Amino acid sequence: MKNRLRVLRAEKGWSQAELAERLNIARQSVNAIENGKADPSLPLGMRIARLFGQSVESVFQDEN
Amino acid sequence: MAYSAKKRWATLGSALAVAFAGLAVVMWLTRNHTDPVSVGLFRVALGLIVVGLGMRSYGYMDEVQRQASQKRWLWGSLIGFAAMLPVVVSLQTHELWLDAGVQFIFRHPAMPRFYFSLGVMVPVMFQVLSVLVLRLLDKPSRGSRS
Repeated sequence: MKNRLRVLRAEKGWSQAELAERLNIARQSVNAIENGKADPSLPLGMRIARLFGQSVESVFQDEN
Repeated sequence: MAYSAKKRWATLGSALAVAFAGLAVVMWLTRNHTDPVSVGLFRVALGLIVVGLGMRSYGYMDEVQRQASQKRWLWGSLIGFAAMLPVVVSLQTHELWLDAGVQFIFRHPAMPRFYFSLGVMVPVMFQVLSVLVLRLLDKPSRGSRS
């Protein structure tokens, strides 16, 4: 699954550590999601989208 | 349980500390010819405490870490199991030098030979080693901080 997390985070000027703290997950987990190595669950995906004031679909896109 | 790196490492560290301290006590008890039933009960209690602490540590991971951990344990266990087979097959040849070598690594001279424990320890050790190798290989790719 592709996502725009890195772009959205850069727009806010947050580091991975800052975003991780806001989401209460590990910094390595933010890195894994940004690089497409891990897909977040629906609740975490919704929390991420809500944090950036976006819809889930605009943050995460299905590659199929 | 919510994610907490500090609590995760604290519980994991406690589990390892309890495991090593407990094993030292088991060896001491065995060497002093303590009643085998008492030593067995102590082992069961020790195992339950270590597993309990390990499960608490798992609970303090976030969901992405849990996913990664599950994948590592699945593949690590399979690789470890496959890697163990040549050793087990070699042991089946009953070569005396090989048997002595394995016993030398796992057994204190004062203790009796414990083939049953070896049967459990060898696969578990191979699996844990494979998981640790996979974890090390995964580290560099997760290092970016930008």
